[in-house]
Amino acid sequence: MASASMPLSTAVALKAYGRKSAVGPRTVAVVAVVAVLFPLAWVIRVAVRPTEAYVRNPNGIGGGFTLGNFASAWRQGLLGPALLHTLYTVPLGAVLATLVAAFAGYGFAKLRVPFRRFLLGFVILAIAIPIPSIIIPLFNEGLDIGYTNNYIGLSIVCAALYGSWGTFFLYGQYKGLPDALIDSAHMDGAHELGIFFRIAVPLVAPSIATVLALNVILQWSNILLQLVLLPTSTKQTIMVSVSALGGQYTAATPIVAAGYLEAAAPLLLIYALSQRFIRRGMFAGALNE
Amino acid sequence: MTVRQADYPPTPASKVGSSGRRLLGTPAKTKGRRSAQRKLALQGLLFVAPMVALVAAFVVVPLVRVIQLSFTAWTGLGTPQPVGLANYRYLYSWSSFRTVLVNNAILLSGLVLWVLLPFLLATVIYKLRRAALVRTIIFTPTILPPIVVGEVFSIMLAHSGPLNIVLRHLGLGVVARDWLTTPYLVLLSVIWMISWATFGVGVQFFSAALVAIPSSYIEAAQIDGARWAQIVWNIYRPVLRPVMQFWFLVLTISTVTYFFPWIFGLTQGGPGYESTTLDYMVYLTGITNGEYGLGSAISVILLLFLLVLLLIYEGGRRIRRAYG
Repeated sequence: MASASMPLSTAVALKAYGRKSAVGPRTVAVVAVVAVLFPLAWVIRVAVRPTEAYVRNPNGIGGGFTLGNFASAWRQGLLGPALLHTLYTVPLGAVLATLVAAFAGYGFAKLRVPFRRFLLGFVILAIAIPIPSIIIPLFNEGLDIGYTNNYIGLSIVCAALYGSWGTFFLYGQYKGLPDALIDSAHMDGAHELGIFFRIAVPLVAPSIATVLALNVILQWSNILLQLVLLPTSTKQTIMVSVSALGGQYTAATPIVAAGYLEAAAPLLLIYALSQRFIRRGMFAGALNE
Repeated sequence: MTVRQADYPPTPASKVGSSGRRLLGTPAKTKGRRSAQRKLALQGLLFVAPMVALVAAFVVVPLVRVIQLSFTAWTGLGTPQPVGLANYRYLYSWSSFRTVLVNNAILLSGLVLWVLLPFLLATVIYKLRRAALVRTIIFTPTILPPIVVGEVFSIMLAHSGPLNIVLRHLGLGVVARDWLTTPYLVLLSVIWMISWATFGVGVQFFSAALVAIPSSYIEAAQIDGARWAQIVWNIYRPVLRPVMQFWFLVLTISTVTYFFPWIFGLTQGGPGYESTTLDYMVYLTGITNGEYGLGSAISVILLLFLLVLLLIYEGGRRIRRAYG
């Protein structure tokens, strides 16, 4: 902190200042961490509390420890099949969204595209449109064309609604690649697809991983599309099933809490595995603006 | 593609923009080159075509359709019957819809909290040795799906939930309330819940931008006797303004027009319509009740609401650019 050229007195004063002022920030940090973690910790505690103990005293934290609520939620909410339904549609939707975004972002950033600005504006418009505002025609069109109640249909709709954000993000990343790299590959006789797969994609691979990971998380959580486009009860996703567990069947709160944790657990796992990409990607997004 | 060398003679790199885009002053002379360029344009189009086609089919067509439907009465049977402005007139006189509009206006004020709280925390903790750990911990809940967050808070804020218990233990029993069943108070709960759910991302954004500030600036200010508030106002605020605007925009298009999953998990819009937002109303009217015409009119109002927000945002930016 204190450089060699700094007078000693200043360095000492600075050090003292730093030490004195660290008490306040530390307190604030602790308060923030507690405020953020307390609700989470409470819900986890509720989820592992025996139901009888919870019913007797919902406000307490005692009463022992059980994993039975997770089994009950899994059984009562039919979460096993529901998880499968999610797996039929979300991974495909995330891959499709990432794929179209990886191609389109490169096209807009590095290739000649007729009406480029207009088409790019078109894609950016899609980012800003809130899904609820078009949910009614999506539902009706889906009934007409046949993508309602169809897992692949939902994946394709998700690719459209989430690919636009990925396109814009990757467009910024491809833009950063030096043109000379691509031009010299041209001169060596490489064709466009070869350049895309052998040069461009490897160079922005971490950003593509970011888009993929965020797409899984966002599409997994998107209850509105899952609720509206998979309305048949035998096709419900895990998010929809778990919300029904809390709503219409009014299971005991510990069981509901356990169910919600089960529905969110895969996301926490994905986050743990890809957190480097997710947070790095967010920096890039914020600082590019 | 192996004949590429023949129909696309290599051009000096200095005369070619990004991958063959001609720069000014290098006219396409030969027929061969012109056809090569047409081919390049076609290739570019092929790269963007899938995305553009998807957006056209699942965003633009529905957008046009929702505007058309808003001038009709339709419950899914037969064909939509044109009714002119009847849906909008009905909304104008529908008192529940007025409640919804007021709710959206009140929730809009949450933006101040959602932007300011992470900004302040990021600036406060940024010099701490364990700042990275704090940020990681705070970021984790932001991965939770919004309806799970809603469920977490419906447990936390229940009548005899932990918040009220803590308040009573602290001797603040008078503050304890029915956070989820009292009009207006339920909106405060929504604002608080979303603040909790988005806090970590905001801190992450602001912290990333803080790295760009040389620590010598802060040290110099401290030596000159600047107080913390002065440093925040005169150094952090201007430097972080672009990130603040970005975060503001992200919240505007991801939260303020899309409360649905949070509300669905927390209150399902209740009590009555006291925590129903425009986007939730679209769902209730259009999907649950199957009134596609009326629901579409609410969708159009939601789109207008977003448009007004974006115009205010853009206007504010222009004014600031013009005057300072």
